[in-house]
Amino acid sequence: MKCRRVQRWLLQAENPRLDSRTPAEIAEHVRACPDCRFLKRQLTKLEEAWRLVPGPAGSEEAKRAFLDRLARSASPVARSARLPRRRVLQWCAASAASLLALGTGTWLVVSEREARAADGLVDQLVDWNLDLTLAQSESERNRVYARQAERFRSALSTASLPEEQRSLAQELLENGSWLVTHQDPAAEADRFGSLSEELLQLAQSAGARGNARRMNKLLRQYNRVLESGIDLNVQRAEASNALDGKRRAKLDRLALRDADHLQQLASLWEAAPGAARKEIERAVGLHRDRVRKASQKKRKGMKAEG
Amino acid sequence: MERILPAGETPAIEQDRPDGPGRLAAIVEDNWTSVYMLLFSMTGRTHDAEDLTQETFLRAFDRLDSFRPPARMRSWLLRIATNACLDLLRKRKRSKSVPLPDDLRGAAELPGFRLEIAEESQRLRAALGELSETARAVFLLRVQESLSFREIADLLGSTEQAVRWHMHHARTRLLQRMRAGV
Repeated sequence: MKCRRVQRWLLQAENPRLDSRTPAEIAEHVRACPDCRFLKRQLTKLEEAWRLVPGPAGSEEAKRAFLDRLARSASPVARSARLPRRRVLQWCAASAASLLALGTGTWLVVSEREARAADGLVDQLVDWNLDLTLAQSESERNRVYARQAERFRSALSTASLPEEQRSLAQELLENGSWLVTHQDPAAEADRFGSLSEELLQLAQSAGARGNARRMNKLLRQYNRVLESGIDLNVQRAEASNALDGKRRAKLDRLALRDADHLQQLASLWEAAPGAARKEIERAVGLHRDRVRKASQKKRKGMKAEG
Repeated sequence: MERILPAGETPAIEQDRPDGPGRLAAIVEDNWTSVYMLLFSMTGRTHDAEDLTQETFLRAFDRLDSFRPPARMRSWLLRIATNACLDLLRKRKRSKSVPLPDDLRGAAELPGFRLEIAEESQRLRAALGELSETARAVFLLRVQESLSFREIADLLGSTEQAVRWHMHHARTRLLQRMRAGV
């Protein structure tokens, strides 16, 4: 398939992340082609960057003022003869404040419940992916996969999830299917590297929205992916004798990502409230360990060559 | 898909929520931020966003009987908001007073907010301001409000294919501008 066609598809896609609705040939091409994968990543980043753009100050104030006017008098609604319903005016006058509190409370409870359900499913999927990569043999992977795959598929089809969570859950489900048919530590580390990038972006979005609980949860998942999904597979890949140029390039890409992620984590730490910094510090520690090990290895290699 | 009730049918609001007296306030509370953010991103000005948001809710209250589930209240309000905004922007264009995104203090003035995010936000907003109104609306409704292309097409009175085309245009231009550092 030609890159031009794939790139046009990505630019016009409802969701530039690959999911179950992505035609198989497009998904396959994007995974194999660095240019198209780069575009996909750029598009995802563009959307994440937009979600990080803060709104102007004053929206809340303007809302309060409008609600006060609604509650206090009929004037804003009655300002025009376009409102024939007296009922509307009565609604405005009748205890808007108490019912507003009730409405807001209900909304918050429902949103919170949905967010927790979504977190739960994504958590389980991350665990499942890590269990798959930790499984040493093909038969063990098949067993881990078969035990949960159907249940996740069904949960995902019925769950009410926010879009970004659904997309991530879908990606984790697909990654699970990929892991069951591939046993290649460098490629697995690369895939978990992409997953860590998405988790970090989502954590940044949550942080920018002031949702420290969600940010922490995402960072906990991020740290688990770093430890069990990336580090372990990098060690396996380096210990194997199958580290050809292509696989080495995947590991080098991960090392470059370390520097990028460290920078992002440092910025996230600056903006986060004190209580939410623990997971960030843990992630920074994990990255620093990796960078330190990599430079020690490099030094050893240089000594051996010298 | 939204349905417009024929005149004389029972207003949906009564079926939707029996606790009518608090409904208007609840509608405002639940949807204000979405509507306001869309209008701010479209116009680049807080006072325009404020005026148009109020106008949107007043127009919506005026037409409550044309709304009923399963239509989503948020989509319905965003439709009213988008139409009001496009009307304003077109009027301005005709009178040659094109709005500039001159009211972007939100990011830069947040104390302690990361400088690079603030700068990137400025660049993104400026790049967004260079898009056509429709491409801008499509991008915002999809990325900010997570509406499907089908919903956006319905909302803009357009087709899904046209929406895809506008999205293509918006993403291409925004990526170009972001790479070039605007």
